[in-house]
Amino acid sequence: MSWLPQLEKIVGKDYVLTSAANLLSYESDALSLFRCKPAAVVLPNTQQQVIECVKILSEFKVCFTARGAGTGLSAGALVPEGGVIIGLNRLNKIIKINAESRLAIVEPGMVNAQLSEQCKEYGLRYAPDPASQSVCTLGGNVAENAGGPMCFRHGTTSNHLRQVKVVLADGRVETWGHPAHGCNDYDLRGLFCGSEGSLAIALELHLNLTPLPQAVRTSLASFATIESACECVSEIVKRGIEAAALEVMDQRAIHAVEDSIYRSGLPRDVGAVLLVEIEGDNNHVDSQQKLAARCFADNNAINVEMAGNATQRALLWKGRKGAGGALGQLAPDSYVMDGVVPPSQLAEIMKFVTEVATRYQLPCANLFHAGDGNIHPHFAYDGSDAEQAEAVEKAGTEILVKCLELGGSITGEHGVGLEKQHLLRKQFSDAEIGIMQRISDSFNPQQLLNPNRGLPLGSSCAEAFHRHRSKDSK
Amino acid sequence: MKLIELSQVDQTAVVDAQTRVADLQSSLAEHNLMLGVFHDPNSELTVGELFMYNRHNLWQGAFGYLRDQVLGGKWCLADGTFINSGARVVKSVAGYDITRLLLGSSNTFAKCQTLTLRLRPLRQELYYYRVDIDDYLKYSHYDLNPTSAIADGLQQVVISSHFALQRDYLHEIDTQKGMALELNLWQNFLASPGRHALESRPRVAPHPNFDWNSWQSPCETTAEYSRVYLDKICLALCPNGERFVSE
Repeated sequence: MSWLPQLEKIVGKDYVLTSAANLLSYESDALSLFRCKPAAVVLPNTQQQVIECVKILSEFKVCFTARGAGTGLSAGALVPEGGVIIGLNRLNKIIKINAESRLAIVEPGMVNAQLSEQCKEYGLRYAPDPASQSVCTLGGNVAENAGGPMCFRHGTTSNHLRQVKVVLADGRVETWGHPAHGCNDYDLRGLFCGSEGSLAIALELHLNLTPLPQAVRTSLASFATIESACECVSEIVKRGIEAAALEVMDQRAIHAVEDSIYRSGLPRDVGAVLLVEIEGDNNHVDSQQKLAARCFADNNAINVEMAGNATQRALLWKGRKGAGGALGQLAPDSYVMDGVVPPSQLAEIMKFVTEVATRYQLPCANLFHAGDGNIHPHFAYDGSDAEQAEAVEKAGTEILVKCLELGGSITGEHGVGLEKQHLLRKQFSDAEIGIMQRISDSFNPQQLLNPNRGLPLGSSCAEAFHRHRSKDSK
Repeated sequence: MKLIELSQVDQTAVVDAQTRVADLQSSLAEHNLMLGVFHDPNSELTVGELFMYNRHNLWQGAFGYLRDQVLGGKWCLADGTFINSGARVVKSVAGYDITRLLLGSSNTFAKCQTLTLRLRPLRQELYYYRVDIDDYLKYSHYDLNPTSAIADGLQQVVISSHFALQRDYLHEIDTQKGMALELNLWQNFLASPGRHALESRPRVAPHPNFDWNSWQSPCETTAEYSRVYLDKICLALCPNGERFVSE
């Protein structure tokens, strides 16, 4: 590792991690199905340090990838053995907020929720809100084109990224997009967003800010079955109600939340709950809320709870936002899936998820962004049990293939990573994948930067990543 | 006009690129839906032209950039291959976002065959308000997300909204179905001799995020990176080197 002293020279010895203990938390992201320990982790503090690190790694032909908070759910920020992770958490500053232009210029290690917090004083916010927003970084959000509950109304990260300054795999720096309007012609900014760190590393992000709404109405409707909650979602969309968020949780998810520190008083004895948030001007939200209430009644809602103030609203959201964490406590390992179907097919896919989970004898909870048709079946399992781990993977594949059959996609916001590479050929033709591969090669000709991520891997590459834990390593 | 597929519940449509935008909007209105794009009902502009030249969306404030309205498409490459991009759902991050790359490329990379569009619930009424430029600058950036904002002369801005707004600094001037007033204002604005004076104050017209260069030459390749990657992307699309003549 003759490159190691050079990295230490750039960032300082304290910021190059090589001990087994330090590397442990970098061997996987939040999807623990895939693990691979990097040779080193380097933690630069400035854009220039990132550029210099990239140049050294490129010169020595060492594989590397950028990483934010490691909250990704598709094994997108892992390097094969011998590779280096460039942690961007120390690049966490706001460079500038221009409230008049509704623009924030930030470093990629900035935490999502902190940006909205900092913008509050201007009456603005950053709209995309992944469930992990209190810890996930904006650079990671851009790499994955992250979504979140509010993206039903406001769109995903790509809709909010106006310009990005990047360092390419060979250390060259470029700026893509336009600070005022995103992009006019060749949209390399749009191509970069969601490319899972395989085209370049973000150094500086120019992000759109959105005015805080004048009024918000949040309600929680309970239903006897998850299918009836899904049918209510379809009805809400069909009647033209422009909700900001439409979130569904099934009974297993409700119980996990109520048994955890995220307890928020959700009804335990119902099949599912639907959280509906409407935002906008006062008179607008009231009329939309009335329409939503009619949908609840027409779809046999058992009970409807309205948040009367900000505290009650926060409590309703606490359960939904904490559900992922609550479900993670049910077993040693968890697999949070991510698939999309047209909203009209939600009831159908939920029936299928239940059937698959029953067939494989796996406990499965569901919480999802219903307005977008973005489902997140959640399997709690023990990864050291080879049979269970295999069952989880098979069940996951069946569900995602069904999503495609119903006219959807294999991923709505988590990305392809290592998790879904085997399914890409089911969504795209060989010609389409060939184009993506050649685009990847144009930007990353030596495949040193997050090699082949988001694209089908060659078999030799796939073997570089260890799946699951063995019983010995438990 | 060819509306190939329409789902009212999913709020998506697959449309032939040769479809007139005005025809599409009329057809969608019958299903209580619309495309979140400002258009001239009398224009012959097609859906393909609209998106391949990435014209400015005057309704950007409410619905976002033009590219944000497109979920996927079917394309013909220079070597005659047909490919699909994106998906038919409002959210998909599978593979690279080829759709965004091809949109706005002025048919340089591929010829658009069909587009899958994200639709919105139909809002027939538009509310118009007049606001002094100083008040507009002082408040509206932080307070409003109007559907559009068009400078009317040097001292005032007319904003439109699909929902009624109530603010002390706004003076309601009209409520009407259709976009006749907005279209008239926009055309007057473009023809206005005072436009150049307004160009020096780009924040006020026609939208806070509007870029003057973009509508004058929406497909002009200005950045160095675009030139650098033009050849590379053409080769990625057609590895044998076939390419369309740049328009």
